[in-house]
Amino acid sequence: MTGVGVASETDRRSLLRAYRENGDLAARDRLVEDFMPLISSLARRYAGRGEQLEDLQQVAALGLVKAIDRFDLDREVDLVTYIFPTVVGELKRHFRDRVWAVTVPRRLKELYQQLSRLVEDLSALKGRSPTISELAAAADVTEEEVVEALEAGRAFTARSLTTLHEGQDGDVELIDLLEDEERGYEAADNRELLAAGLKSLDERERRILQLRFVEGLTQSQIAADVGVSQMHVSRLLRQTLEKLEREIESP
Amino acid sequence: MSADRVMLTLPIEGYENVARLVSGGLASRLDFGFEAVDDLQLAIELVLRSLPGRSGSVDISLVDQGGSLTVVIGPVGSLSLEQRLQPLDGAGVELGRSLSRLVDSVEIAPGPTGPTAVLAKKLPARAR
Repeated sequence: MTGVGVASETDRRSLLRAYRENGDLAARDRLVEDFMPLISSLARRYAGRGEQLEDLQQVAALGLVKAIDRFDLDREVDLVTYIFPTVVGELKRHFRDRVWAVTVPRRLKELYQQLSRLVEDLSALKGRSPTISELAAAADVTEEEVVEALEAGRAFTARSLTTLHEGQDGDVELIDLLEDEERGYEAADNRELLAAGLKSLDERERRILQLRFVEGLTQSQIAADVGVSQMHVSRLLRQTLEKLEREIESP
Repeated sequence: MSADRVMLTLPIEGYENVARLVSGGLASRLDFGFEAVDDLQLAIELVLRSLPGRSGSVDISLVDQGGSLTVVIGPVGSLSLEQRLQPLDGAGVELGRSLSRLVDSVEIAPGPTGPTAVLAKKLPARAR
């Protein structure tokens, strides 16, 4: 296994035990740090499929923390053999939730990716959210193309896990592309997800809604708080709204 | 129709993207920032998705008021700003409170065919 830090398995178990049994957060952080090379490596493996690397690294890190929280210390397996499929499962779940929902021309997908970066760069440069005309100038396209690409980006949205599970349309091919290593733990994770369905919002979605609608933070402030891009926050807000609607329709 | 007013009539169900495109296009002409455009679109979508009953059509009027953009959506039937988004914050958060995070003012006002939701978003001072 490549990309794992310098600690031995014994060291890692000691750190995990210190975290679990004594609530030693420094031990957990040390463990996270030790696995970060692996996390970055896995995130890079899934880059180039329409998502930004920084977002994928965030997703992978979330998977790592979940794995650390769930690993059964009584099991006679290396920690890394549990972390690896859990993180891969988290990345796959991320893609399952965010496949392009409609056919979007390649030029718009590429422009959307370009705009994602420009929003971050121009926001940092100007200290405020850039206007559509500023984005258009920076990307050397028309304002209409910017609006069109931003709308196209919203097609990069939530898709029912059940639909994908049942393989009712061709987009399941994306998942086929992502199929790889160990499946045992991941299959268990997916069963849990499917059992829960989409009726409940996950922790991050709840937090983003809470920050936006209750605490009144802006998208860029939420992005900084949660550690994802502003446009990712925008997409998550919309996806969560769609879930809210489904929840209201079928209580 | 004056040049600073855009009107749409849309089926309630499944046309949120059309409302987003048009409102985004108009807001960008008024030089709103990316985030303000997104908030305005989200507010419109939140109203559309909260409408009681999912059949029929709804009118959306977008008016450049010079310094602000006003969006009138209606008829909204029994839509109430007090209704709650349940999964939020335990007991739920009021729709009106959620909308007020996205736009500068929100109210339910009478319209020609029934109650309407009126949203207003101010232009940032630098753009006026």
